[in-house]
Amino acid sequence: MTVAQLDRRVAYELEGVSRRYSLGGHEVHAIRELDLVVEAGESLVVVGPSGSGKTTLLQLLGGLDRSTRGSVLFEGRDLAHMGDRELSRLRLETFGFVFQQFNLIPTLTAAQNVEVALAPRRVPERRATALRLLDSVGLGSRANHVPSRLSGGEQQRVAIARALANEPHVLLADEPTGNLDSETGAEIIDLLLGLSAEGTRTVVVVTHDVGVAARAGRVIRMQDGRVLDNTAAADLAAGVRTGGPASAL
Amino acid sequence: MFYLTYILAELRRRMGRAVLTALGLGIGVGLVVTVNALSRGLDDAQAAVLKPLTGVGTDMSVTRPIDVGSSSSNSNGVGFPQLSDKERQELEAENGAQRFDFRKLKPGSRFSTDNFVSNSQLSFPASNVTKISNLSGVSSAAGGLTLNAVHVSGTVPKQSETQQPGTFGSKAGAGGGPVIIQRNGPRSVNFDSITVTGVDQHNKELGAITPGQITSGRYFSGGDAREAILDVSYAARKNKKVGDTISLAGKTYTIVGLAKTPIGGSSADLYIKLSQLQKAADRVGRVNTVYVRATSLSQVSAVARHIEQTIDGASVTTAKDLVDRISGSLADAKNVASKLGTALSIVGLLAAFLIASLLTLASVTKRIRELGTLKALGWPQRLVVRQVTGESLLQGLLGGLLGVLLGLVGAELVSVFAPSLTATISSAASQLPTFGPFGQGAVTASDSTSVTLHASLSPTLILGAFVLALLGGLVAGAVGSMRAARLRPADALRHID
Repeated sequence: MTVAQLDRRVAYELEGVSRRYSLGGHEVHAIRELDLVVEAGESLVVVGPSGSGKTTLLQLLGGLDRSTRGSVLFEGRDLAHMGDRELSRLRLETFGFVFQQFNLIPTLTAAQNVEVALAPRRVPERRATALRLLDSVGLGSRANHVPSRLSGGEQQRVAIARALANEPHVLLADEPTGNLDSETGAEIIDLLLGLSAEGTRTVVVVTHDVGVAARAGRVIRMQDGRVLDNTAAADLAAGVRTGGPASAL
Repeated sequence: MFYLTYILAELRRRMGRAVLTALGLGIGVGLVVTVNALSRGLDDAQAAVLKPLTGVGTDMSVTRPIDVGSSSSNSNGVGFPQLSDKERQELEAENGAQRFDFRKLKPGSRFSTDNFVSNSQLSFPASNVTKISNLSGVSSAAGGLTLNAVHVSGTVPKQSETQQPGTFGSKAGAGGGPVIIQRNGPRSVNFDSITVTGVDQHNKELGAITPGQITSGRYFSGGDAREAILDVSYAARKNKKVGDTISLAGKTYTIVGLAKTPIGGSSADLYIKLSQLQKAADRVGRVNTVYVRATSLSQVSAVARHIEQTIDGASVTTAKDLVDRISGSLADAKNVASKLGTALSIVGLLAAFLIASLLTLASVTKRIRELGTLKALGWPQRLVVRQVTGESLLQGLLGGLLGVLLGLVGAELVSVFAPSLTATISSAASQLPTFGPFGQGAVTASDSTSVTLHASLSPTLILGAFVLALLGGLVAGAVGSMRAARLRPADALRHID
């Protein structure tokens, strides 16, 4: 394997990343001096309590936010040095997002919600693509339903179909099971993590659900903006059994 | 197409807010449409009032008014204006030093005399008519002569004398015209005054009276027959009708027609042929009004200036001057429409724009998470802005439709109630102090007419209303878009609905 081939396998490389912002007159350090490497095609789960910086990390990875210090390299390009337009384009073409609240547009049908992600691109068969994606998440028959007529699990499936519409290199999911019952949540996690099975798509899932963490390729545990553990899932599973670090999640 | 689907879906979702925004814009625009339709209606009413004058093609009339200075007769600045020596001499020359001297008559004998005097304007050579008609921008010109015919008759008093009284505006009867001072028997002398205008009957379409103004009978014939046309109100006062005769300075004229005096024009009681009046008044070859038609409306101002430069002391009255002299409820309504109406339109529009902007801003604030999601999905800023602006523009379009509808209803209501307005136009003569003999008034102080008001809509007005509503939508959209454009995706996604 050449050096170039090795480089291509790295999706993200974060070095000394900090993110702080003002909140009610106080300075909040959401991320502190964080170093992280995420390989392409990897499935990574980020766990930690509320306020640990998980969501901020996800937003930095997705180009939704900028670090105040350090560099966030995606495929060798520093996101901090990209302009708004370039970041928009990157999000449109490369990233897919799944949110805890689903963030579907309530006035549009399931199919139209998927089309939203394709609208800025001149996709010739937008409608057909949307229907195919809904089919792939098991919602082919619900394409013309507005979100209010879908269950929470169905809404999240629509959100996943939307996130996949642009055939993203990276799928970023922020608490995707947060508003779902455990059974539905498990289905959604299976669906998301399955998307990285072929090794062509990087999947990063932020969650506080330890059960989810056990199914990922790798788990990082965060607290107070720092990474406490960075563990392969197999080790984590063993840790859970032996009362190691994972048991503290 | 997807964007339109999205816009329509959003408007449907926020139906109440969309209707409220459209209604706000609609009311503002409807107000503008109604006020403008009303204003146009008032313009039409004014045009209808002026049509008797302007409709016959007279763009301006030229006179030589007496120049009354602003100086007063006493040091306190109180009293009547003084004529300059030059003007006094001009007026004397105009009217002649006619004196009725009882001493030349035998006491107790009967007498009768006729005099033609000009009260407020001087005559000038008729050659000026040709001079004016040859000016650039003049299509045609016709002369006219308006005088006060004063008939004095009675019995010579037993004791009488003449003296030089200090009539106003002059030093000693210098205002011209007959001056009679009686010590005894004032009841034995009768005065009769009538306003007569000489009309150039060869120029039918231009002059103090035209065939279009004849209400019964006919216009003058081309020959030398002594014919008269009476003003309808004078005829009614004197109980005269077509076919009757009327005497003037010892000559008998057959009444061939009755005419409605043009409001704002130089009205008279009696119209006869110009040459016959010139002869009777001993003013052969002289006129005191020239009616001028310009080659085009745009030439009027230039021609007016040219005439005033060409003829010494000439005063040119244009249709626009007449508009300035209109008073009465029509003028009041015009003033209200132009001042209050305009203010109301502006305030209404501003309020509508403000309401639309605030509602759009509130809508954007409510949708921060949604707009943030669009940004997170990679929608470029211009598409997010286009989405917000598109929704506002559609609301503006609805507001425009609603506004035009409200405007139509408002205009229809005005037409249904059709208020009647009166228009009073002071004549040119009334703007000057009167120099009538024996304190008699000027030729005519003012004319009044009533006109029904109808609101008037035009395609341009309706189109303008649409444009205004769209502009309102655009302003509101711009306000909302600015808010949306500034959103950072991470902040927007953190927003709690």
